[in-house]
Amino acid sequence: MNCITEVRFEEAIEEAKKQDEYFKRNHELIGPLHDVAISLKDNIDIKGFDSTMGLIALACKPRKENAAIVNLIQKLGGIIICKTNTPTGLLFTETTNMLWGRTLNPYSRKYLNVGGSSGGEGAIAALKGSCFGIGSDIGGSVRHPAALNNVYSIKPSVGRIPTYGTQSGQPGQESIKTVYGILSHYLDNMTYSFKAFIEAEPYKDIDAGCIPLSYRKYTLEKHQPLNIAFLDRDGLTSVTPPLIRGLNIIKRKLKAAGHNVFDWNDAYFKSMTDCMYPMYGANGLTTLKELLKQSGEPIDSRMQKSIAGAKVMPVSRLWNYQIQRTKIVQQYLNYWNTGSSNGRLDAIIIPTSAFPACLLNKVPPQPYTSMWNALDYSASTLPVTRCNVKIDRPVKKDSYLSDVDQDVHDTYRENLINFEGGPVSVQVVCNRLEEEKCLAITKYISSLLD
Amino acid sequence: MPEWEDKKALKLHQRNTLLEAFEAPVDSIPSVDQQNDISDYLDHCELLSSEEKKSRTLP
Repeated sequence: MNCITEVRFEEAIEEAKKQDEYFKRNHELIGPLHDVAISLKDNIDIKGFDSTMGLIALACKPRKENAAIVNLIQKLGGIIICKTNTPTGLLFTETTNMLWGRTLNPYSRKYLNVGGSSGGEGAIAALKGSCFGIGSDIGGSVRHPAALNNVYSIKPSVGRIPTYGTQSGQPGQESIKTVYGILSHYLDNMTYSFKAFIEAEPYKDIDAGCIPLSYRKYTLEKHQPLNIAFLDRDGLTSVTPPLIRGLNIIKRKLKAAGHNVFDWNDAYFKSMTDCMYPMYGANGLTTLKELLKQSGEPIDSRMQKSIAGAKVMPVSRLWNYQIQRTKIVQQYLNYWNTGSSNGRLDAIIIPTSAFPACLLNKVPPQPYTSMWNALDYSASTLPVTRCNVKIDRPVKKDSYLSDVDQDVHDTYRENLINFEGGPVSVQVVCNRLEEEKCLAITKYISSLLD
Repeated sequence: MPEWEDKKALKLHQRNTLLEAFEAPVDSIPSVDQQNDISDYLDHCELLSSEEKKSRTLP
């Protein structure tokens, strides 16, 4: 699958042996992650290893310090076995670069995309290559590959999981803050590791950017119906038939269990996208341009347009975008609280992509996921089903949301057979800092699907 | 060969050497078609009535 970049197998075996000896001597574990095999996205610094992010200019330049999340994992007894592949500089949502090449989707090596930018983590989770992995998410980079690889993931709000000491193709871009999330084939592994991270109280001595918020166990009340909204579009595209089926499966199950389920409007998606996307490249992608220039490597075709069009944005314009973003965040909170006659929402169920995994070189923009970064909401992904082209027949639509939407549906119709077996996943979106609730609802919905 | 290609070749060689001892036997790797088998998932399709299967858009 070509998902691994930096290899730590020998080091991991030695560390595990030492921890085994510790256990023999002391009859206690190092911590809740004692001897748990963990993989990391390539941009997370480990002392003595490169963080290339697919850029040749960063090859053979080992990092001098551990990232805060690495210190936390080691404190808890976790064993880091490897780092995994990303797109060049984490700039796009398809995991391929000039250094390591393309990471393949384990569910369809021929046709389907592994997603990105934590694509290596998505693939290794699908292959059960690590107990869980850590990826970064600034617009969907944990959830998109998790969905395309049929595994679980959680993207927390800012401040819950350490971020300090990690690399980015756009360092200093903090209008939309990067968060680190967890991907795993197993939902229980994800829940367990999230709890372990939070209970370690990383705000005290691991990362000054973490917030002093304890783990808050969330229990779903038996006779209290949940208010669950469903979205099948993101202001730019509408989902293809397999995703409609996936949404209907969950909707039907929740309804049968007595919960309030209803359709939700894609209000604010377009206005948020309009102010959010320019923020990502506000420095004209200067860092990335310099790194590409240093090595002289050819610029990937997926980046050529962004690189060529990237210009330094005046601070006043950036601040105006930030004002708009803050306003929409406030408006959306009101919408969340009052948009349904049933009362405040518990969660929104929305796909991560219009496709059941995208074709190679065919990943549309993803407001489905990036919206929740801009709002700083907690969001998980869970696998629902897989594309079956015999029943997920293309639909002829009378109108489209946009040219991109038309392209999505044309692509699905014209390449139908290539989508066979593509994972169908959805996000469970809860409000800001509601990770425990988000995981509890994710577990509940997964149990309904068993 | 440009310098960047040399560096790439070196880095790939280093990684592949470290992976070599841990590579799975070729016959234990599932084929593309085995990996793409969706028969386990057909039960989920049965959750929907024929009418719902015809429905291709949310109301």
